[in-house]
Amino acid sequence: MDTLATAAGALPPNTLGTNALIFMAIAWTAVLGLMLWAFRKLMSTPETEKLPPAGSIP
Amino acid sequence: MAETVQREQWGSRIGLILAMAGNAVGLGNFLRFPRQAVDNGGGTFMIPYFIAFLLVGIPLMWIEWGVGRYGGVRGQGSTPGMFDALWKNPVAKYLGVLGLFMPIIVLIYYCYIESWTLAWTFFSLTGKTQGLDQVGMASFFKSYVDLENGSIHGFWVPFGFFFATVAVNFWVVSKGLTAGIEKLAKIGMPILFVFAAILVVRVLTLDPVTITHDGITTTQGPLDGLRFMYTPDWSALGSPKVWLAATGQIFFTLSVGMGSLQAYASYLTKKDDITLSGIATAATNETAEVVLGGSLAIPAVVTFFGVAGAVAVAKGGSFDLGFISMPLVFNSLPGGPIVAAGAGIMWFGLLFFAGITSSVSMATPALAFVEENFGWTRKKTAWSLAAITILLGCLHIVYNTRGFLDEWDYWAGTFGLVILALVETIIFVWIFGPDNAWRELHEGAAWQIPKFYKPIITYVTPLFLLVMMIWWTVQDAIPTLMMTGVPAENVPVKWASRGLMLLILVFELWLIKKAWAKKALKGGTA
Repeated sequence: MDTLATAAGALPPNTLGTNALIFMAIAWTAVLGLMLWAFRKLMSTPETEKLPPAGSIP
Repeated sequence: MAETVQREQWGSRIGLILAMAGNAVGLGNFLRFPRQAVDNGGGTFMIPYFIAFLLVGIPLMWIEWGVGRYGGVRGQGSTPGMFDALWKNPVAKYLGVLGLFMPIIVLIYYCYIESWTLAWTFFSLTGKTQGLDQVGMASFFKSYVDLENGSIHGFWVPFGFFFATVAVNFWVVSKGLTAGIEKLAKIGMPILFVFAAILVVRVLTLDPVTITHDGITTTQGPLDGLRFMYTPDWSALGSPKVWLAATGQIFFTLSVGMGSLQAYASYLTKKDDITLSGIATAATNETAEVVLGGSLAIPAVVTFFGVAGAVAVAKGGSFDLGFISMPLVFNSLPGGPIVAAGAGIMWFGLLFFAGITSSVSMATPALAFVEENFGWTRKKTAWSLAAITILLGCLHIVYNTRGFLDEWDYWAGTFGLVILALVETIIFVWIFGPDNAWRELHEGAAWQIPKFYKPIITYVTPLFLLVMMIWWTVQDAIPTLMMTGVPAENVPVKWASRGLMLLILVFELWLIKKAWAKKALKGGTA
């Protein structure tokens, strides 16, 4: 992790830095985007009608 | 046997997805992921991580939902029956033992680890972790998990929290699918996300802290922690170790190869969607892991201990990070004991909910198997399983530091997952047939899977799994089997641990044989 430690020391304290910002933005956008897309699509699809409780064998 | 059998069903789609996501979101999202990321090249780790997610994680998620629903509509809620329905070969049901064996083994020791989170929620509430320095906090944790070296908590305390955790788990399970598991997910998952979101906001708004480490004074804040985690180390991208670590993390985090996703999916009907629901589950888990899990422990630890301190903590293991460093961070928060207690309750509370929503899913395959094949009621099965969990879990408490738990975690909780994933992929995709598998996935689908995923599921995913299995066998399984580097005094305990696992495996194979003999007598399929 030397490179990370060096990178952390090269910038002012409490700064994210461009490379880290890009990686983080891609990672967060990918997972959040996928989740929101999936839920939005699911919510716009009607749910199947539930059958009577278990126990019967058709 | 009739072609379709009606079984209990999930109450709602959102309940199903929350339960599935609860199954996947576990302790690993908040403890294992940040540690793996900083250990394997920071930002660079995310590249193989996402590739593994797309090529292995999502395909396996669909395969397990597909296998589960196919078995479920034929009255089979566990992998022996599911594999038997997919592949008309006498061997199939015995291969399915993996989907009974692994969740039971993992459930037993997972409940013990989950009980630590319950204990630390209580300790945070009662202020027991306050006022301790790094050495004191480490002793406080080590003495809890190492009974042999004398516990400062009282000998029965770890047992008490373990019994309470098992009781809560099996009380939920005994209530049934909708009144127990689904209800827990609907309550537990929002609480988990709210606690995590509050903690993320608090951690990311911390003021920079100046510390002196090894004579060097530095000032750092939470954004330095995020930079530490996301700064790419490009040299790591060429390392097979990083790719294997990323693929392994995807495996653990999505709970694939365990047998529990299939058991949950068995309560779906042919009309229910599995393509989009599978994606929604996987994406919810990834959000909990990448956005929330990645923004908690590392930024907090870097702020108060610096980058060098965080590296040392990460090398100490996930539990040191969660149970030693995080309470120290909470003690250092501005606002005094009340803020420290509140943060501790939220952190360990979210870990507890992450744990319990996973552990109840691990109980489901065995419950379904016994209920369906031996006619036991859910309550009777659940409480019998609770008794077994308590009995065997006590061995973990007593012999934890002798490597008893490590054996179960390695063979069932790590290596076994890849074996089951490979076996089920071969059965579902190759033996059942790629066209049949593709058709099965699209029954009742709310979304068409892109066509390029068909060759990925058919060839790339199994190849990835095969490479991973060979790599792990050479790199880890052989040295672990030979007990390389294990202290001599721990060897008998480790052999006893393996013997017990083997006994459980043989017992489950015998149960499968008995169950199918019973079916044959009734005139069903043998």
